[in-house]
Amino acid sequence: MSEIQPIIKLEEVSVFQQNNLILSEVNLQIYPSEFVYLIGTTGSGKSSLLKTLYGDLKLERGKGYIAGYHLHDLQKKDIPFLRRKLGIVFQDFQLLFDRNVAENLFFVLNATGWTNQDEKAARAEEVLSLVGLSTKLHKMPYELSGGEQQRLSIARALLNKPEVILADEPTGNLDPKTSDDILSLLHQLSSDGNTVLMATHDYRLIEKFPAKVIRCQQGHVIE
Amino acid sequence: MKPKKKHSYLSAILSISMVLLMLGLLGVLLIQSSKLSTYIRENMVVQVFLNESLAKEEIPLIQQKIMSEDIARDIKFVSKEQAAAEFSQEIGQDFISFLGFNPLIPSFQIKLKANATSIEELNKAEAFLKQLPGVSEVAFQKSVFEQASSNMKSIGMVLVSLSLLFALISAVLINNTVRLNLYAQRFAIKSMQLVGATNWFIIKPFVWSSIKNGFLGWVISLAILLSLLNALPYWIPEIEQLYDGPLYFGLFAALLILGIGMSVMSSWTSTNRYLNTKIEDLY
Repeated sequence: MSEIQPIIKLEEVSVFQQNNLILSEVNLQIYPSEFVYLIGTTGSGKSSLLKTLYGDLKLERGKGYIAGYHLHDLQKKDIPFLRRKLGIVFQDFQLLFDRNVAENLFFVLNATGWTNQDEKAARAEEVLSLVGLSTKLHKMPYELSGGEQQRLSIARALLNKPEVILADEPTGNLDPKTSDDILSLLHQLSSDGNTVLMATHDYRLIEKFPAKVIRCQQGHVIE
Repeated sequence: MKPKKKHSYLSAILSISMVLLMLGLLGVLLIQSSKLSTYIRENMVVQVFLNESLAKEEIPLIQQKIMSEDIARDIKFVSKEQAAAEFSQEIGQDFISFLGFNPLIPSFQIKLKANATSIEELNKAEAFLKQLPGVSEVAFQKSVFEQASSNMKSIGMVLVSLSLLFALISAVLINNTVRLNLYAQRFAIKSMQLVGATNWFIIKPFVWSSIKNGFLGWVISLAILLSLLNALPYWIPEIEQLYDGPLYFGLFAALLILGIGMSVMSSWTSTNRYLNTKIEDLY
């Protein structure tokens, strides 16, 4: 039987923000369907590490691999295609506020090459029902609560059946009850086979929903 | 479309239309002044006086020679008798019965082509006309030609400089309008990028919308310009003589290209800038 390969692998990686070294000697392996918390204080480099993983920061030192892409060799033109293999969830949701729930999802489907109208509609309904927003299809994002906006953001991330979900403080703007709901949803997705790497500094959530933890501390990543 | 978004598109279209209208008016002024200059120069008369002894059959030959030089737009032979009749009518007296003889001599009255009215060409034409057999004198008001030519040159220079300046101002204004519209959408542009859309997929709708804005702005400016051109002859009837269909067509086409071109270029560069900016730098 062949050995399971990590879906995220970093070897001796240094993370830079402009010219500032944020993290160094990062070695990390995350396997398919794992749920991993990335913790650390504000400014410890959690977001920078995630940005490196989704190609927003160039990997200038070390070797990185995620969902079939070599981050150290990543070309600018490859970034959109890498992001289609990832589902990215942000603290501030990053929704398109000038269009409704369905249009937010359709934008991603159109942008990532879906052409069949029926298939697009079916997929949008599928992910919305997964996050419990089936009835909100025609609502504008500003008509949704914070928790619902984050659910929509997760639904959007799931559209292309991503190999990895990268969540950058997804509960940072939410109350404890809503945060629990979002965490429960992300854990459910992990149980369904999705790999989830979630940056957070909310230790209450880690205690409530235990999983593997890696820590950004003093410029290093510690498992 | 949300009302706020609709409002910003409307203001972009109106801004573009006002800028194009301003440029269009300047273009019309430039065309009118150039046509006026041509009109004035082509209606100045050069008189070519002939020897009285010239045989009648030689007159058409001289006329033919003048016409072959491509300087005359219109040529009219005025015989000694015609000249006397015209002069008598002009002064309201029969001067021949008073003098007892007709002192006037036959002549050609030539209206030159516009391209033959520059001082240089005028000197050449004068030399050519003087050396024709049977021509005794060539008379025209050189100073008026010189003054007209120099004035028109100055006005033309001022208008061309103004047009260039206005074109520059227009480019800046259109660019600012489009940039402001896109600034409001900078986070949306970034979000689109983060969900895996290619840059071209993101830029495409903005470019398409800038084409529409440029076109609609042009339509509005064209409607105002055409209304003005239609209304002007009611106040200044003579102005209609100076209208030039093909030149106006060229001007309108140039405004269309300018409106769409500047709008597209601005939206292209602005969208690209936001695509290449880090999200933290957008705040």
